Amino acid sequence: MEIIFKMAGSILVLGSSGYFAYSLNARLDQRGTELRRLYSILLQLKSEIQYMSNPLPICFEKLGGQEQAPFSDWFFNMARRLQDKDRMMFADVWIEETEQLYEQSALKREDMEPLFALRDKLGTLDTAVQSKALDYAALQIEHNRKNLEEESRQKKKMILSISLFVGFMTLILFV
Amino acid sequence: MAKKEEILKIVSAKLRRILEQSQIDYECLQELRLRTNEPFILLYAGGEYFMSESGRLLRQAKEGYIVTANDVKETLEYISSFSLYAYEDEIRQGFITVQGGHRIGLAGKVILEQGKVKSVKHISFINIRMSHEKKGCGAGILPYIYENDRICHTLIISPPGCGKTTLLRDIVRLVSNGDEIHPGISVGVVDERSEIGACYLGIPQNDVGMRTDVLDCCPKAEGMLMMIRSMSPVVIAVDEIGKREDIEALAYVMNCGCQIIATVHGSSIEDIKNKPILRKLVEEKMFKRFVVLAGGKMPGQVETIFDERGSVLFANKLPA
Repeated sequence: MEIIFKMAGSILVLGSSGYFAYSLNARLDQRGTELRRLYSILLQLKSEIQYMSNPLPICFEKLGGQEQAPFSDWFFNMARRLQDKDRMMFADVWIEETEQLYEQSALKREDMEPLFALRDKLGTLDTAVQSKALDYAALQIEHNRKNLEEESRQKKKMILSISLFVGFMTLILFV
Repeated sequence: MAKKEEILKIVSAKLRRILEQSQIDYECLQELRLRTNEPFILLYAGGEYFMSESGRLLRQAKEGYIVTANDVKETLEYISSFSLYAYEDEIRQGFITVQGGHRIGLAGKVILEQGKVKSVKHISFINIRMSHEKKGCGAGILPYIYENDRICHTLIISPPGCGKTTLLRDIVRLVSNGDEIHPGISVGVVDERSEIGACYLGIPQNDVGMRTDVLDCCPKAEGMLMMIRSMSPVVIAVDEIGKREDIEALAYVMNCGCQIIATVHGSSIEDIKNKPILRKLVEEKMFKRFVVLAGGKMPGQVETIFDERGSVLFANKLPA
């Protein structure tokens, strides 16, 4: 009977450490997916501004309808707040909503910096300046994604190894 | 009420608070003037006023609220829906039309490219001109411009600021909607300066009638030809003709069987005859009706209506 409990306990400990490794890896994958989406979103926003000349609230509404959470919420909230009766200045709305996106997504602070930098650029008269700013932000996002891709292969293996190692150590210590 | 909301929506938070505290009647409000580091000025019920921070109308500038650079920047953001780039063409012309048809004049540092205005930056002066539709002001003129149930080519002559666009807009509305005597007909409006329909995101903010199509922000000469090709209107309405190409396009449109209702700057038929480009309009009897508006303090008031031979069809006995 004791041996059965010990085996069940071992499976549980190893299973938990495996699941922990899996969830950490999934978080890494989610960040990669969100960075890929963000890159594409920035280029879409650029074409909305440069070629369609749509005002920002309309661009945000359109992009919100095309994207999934957390980006859809980010855009819909921004569009709503920009069209509110008691309006705020664009830079303030952008910062607040981008902070919200940071909290809801798997993105890291370094991924948000290019977005925060857009607060003074978007909505200005010069489309060329905005286009370049969006290109630059997209470039940084893509750079972060490539770095993540390289790192994540090693990280994933490391996370799995460490988790299993911790699992085995726990078994040795307690079982 | 709608006008109040439309205006409060486009001014800075500080000005919004001041205006909210005031007791002004927005139907009597004509203009709001924002000049960086200068007092906030209102043209209200025919007079010029300043406004205190508590929203009181003042005759003297001393206690008036001083407009800051931030007020101008913020107002500009709201006016352009946070997207100045979307109004590049309008800014080049010096104004933006906002929801409700109000016209926002802008001034600042002009950027030239090959001698032409490319853009305006460092915008420090904003003039918010309230749109006031005067529905029905064209009704008295209609009997004179219809002949055998057909609209005559009509030219409205008026000095600037005397209500010719308001009158043209109302005539367009009346002709388009029709009445018991005259059925409604399709009207094409070529609105180069967005003054007739005051389109916002392509939708006319002023009532221009149910059978009216509007080509917004389109050069008149090109727009008239586009209208004929695309919308086959019975009547084409254009505001402030004056260039040689406008006159050539008018002649083409008239030959296509379309009727024209147009406006022009001037004080009388003689005044038009003295302008080399416009002389042709009168001498060649291109127009069948000339509606001359009275200048001075009676905007929209018709002084005289002539036919193509110069016979007076209507004369208003105005007080001296």
